[in-house]
Amino acid sequence: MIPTLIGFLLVRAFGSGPRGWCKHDFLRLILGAGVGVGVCSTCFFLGLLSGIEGLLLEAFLLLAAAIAVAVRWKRTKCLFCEGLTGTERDSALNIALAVSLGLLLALDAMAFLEAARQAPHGQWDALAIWNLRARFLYRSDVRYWRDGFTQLLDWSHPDYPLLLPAFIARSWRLLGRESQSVPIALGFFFSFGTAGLLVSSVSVLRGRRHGLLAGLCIAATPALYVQGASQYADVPVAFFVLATLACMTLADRFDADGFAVLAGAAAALAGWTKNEGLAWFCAFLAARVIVGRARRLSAFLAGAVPFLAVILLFKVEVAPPGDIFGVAGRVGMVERLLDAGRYALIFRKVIEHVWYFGPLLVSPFLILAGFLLATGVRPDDRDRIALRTAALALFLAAVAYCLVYVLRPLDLAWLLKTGLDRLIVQLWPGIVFAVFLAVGPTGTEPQPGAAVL
Amino acid sequence: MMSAWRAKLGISLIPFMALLALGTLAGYRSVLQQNAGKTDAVTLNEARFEGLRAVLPARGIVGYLSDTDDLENYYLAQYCLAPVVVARDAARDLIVANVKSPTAIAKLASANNLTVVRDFQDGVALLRRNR
Repeated sequence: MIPTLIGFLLVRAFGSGPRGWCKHDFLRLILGAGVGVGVCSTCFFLGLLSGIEGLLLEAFLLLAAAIAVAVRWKRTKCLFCEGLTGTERDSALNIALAVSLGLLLALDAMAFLEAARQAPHGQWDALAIWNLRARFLYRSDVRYWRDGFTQLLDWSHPDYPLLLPAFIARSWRLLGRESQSVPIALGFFFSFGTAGLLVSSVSVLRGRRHGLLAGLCIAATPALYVQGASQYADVPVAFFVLATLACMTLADRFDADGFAVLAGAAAALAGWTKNEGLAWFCAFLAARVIVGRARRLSAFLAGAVPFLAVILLFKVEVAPPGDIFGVAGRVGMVERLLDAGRYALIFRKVIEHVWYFGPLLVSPFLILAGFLLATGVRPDDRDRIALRTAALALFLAAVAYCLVYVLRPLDLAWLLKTGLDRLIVQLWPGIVFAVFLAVGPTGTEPQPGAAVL
Repeated sequence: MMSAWRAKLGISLIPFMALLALGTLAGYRSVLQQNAGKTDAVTLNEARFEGLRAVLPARGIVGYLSDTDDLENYYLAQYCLAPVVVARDAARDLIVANVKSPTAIAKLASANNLTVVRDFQDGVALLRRNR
């Protein structure tokens, strides 16, 4: 509850909102819950570092966010409702799409819950990295919380950032006991929250029908929910990648710097979740500078800097060197970089995994390409910069991920076999978002900010 | 102007994708049903290591010996015994033995100049380095 409240108030403070409840608060609530999880995990980490109780920091932030909302109370408004130029009729098709989406998500949820019941501690990476680190943070005496960051445990990547472990340990501390319901609930939120964020943001930007179709695309990707149930960090990264794109597009569309601040926070929180998230942050920043000519960059960086500072603090003060840039990783790095065979293998495996992604009988990438081809590329003029930024950022992030594969000093075939699907999951909701931003209308013309959710 | 049939074609592709996902979910469900009722590896190992965890110091580093090269068992031991760090070597005063064959404990102890402090059964024991 506390993370959701902090995040929701922060989104309301930065990203506009009416005095009362608004239909667009569904978007703010999901976005806020994700940001709130990130904020609370950084509070817990800063609490460990400083000796100040993390909950005290959370209470302070809650108060600050509430004051910010109160100060804006008189002139507060929902930008999305104001941009409404007409109401979209609920056609039979929209109702059918909404029912299909609900049913498919219900089936995803059933699969998620059964998988979580059978493996409550998650699959290997979850228990060897995230949940293990959470146990160290929770079980250690507060004076010795750094014990788990030793190089003796380099197989468990103690250099990986702490969004998940810190949030889980914080919640266990609040509960007064370890409970696997915390990481399971976190996985559930990020899996289904990603679908909710996609539906609500695309609905605001392109109309309800596009939102529902985008939701169906993401609901029809069981890999997202299976990995969520496995408690992998790739699903939260996917959430923050999508949140970055959605917030920046909303900032451009509604000329609202507050959403650019939230985009910066989301991009940096991807980096606080996993090292690949840092690659995403750099990719998005570079794309924005290239395409957007640094437009809203100061607002974006203002949102990112607090979380980047925490990541820097963690990397400098706590984390041991990682396997790529550590001593072992530097040995043979140039040879790996110049090895054409590694590039060929990566290229072959990327095509293979993209083809079998889902896993569906027909690649969802192919279906999405068919959808794009059928409807045509006709984005809203106001979204052109955001769309180009999104496309370039996703491409740069994919290139960066491939470069990491080239450089990592481990068996490449094994790395690709075990990790490639998860990297695709990280970018998949962002790809779906970009496609639905690009496509032309599919019948009833959507109105800017017209969606009702 | 985009023709209506192209829009319809585009829209129909997405429910088609949803139909394919139904097939995947059905297959996944049958896989899950095959494992229904089985206790997960972590829960089983938590029970195995419960006694050992109670006698280990609250923090510090212990060694680790096994009669197999199975890394998964080592990871599970570390997961169960945190916040004690389990180093995958025998160069410590206290060593955790995690074995498949119960007779392996004595063999590992004598081969590494160790004494069995306590055998917790089920392939788990605490060993101490001989002075």
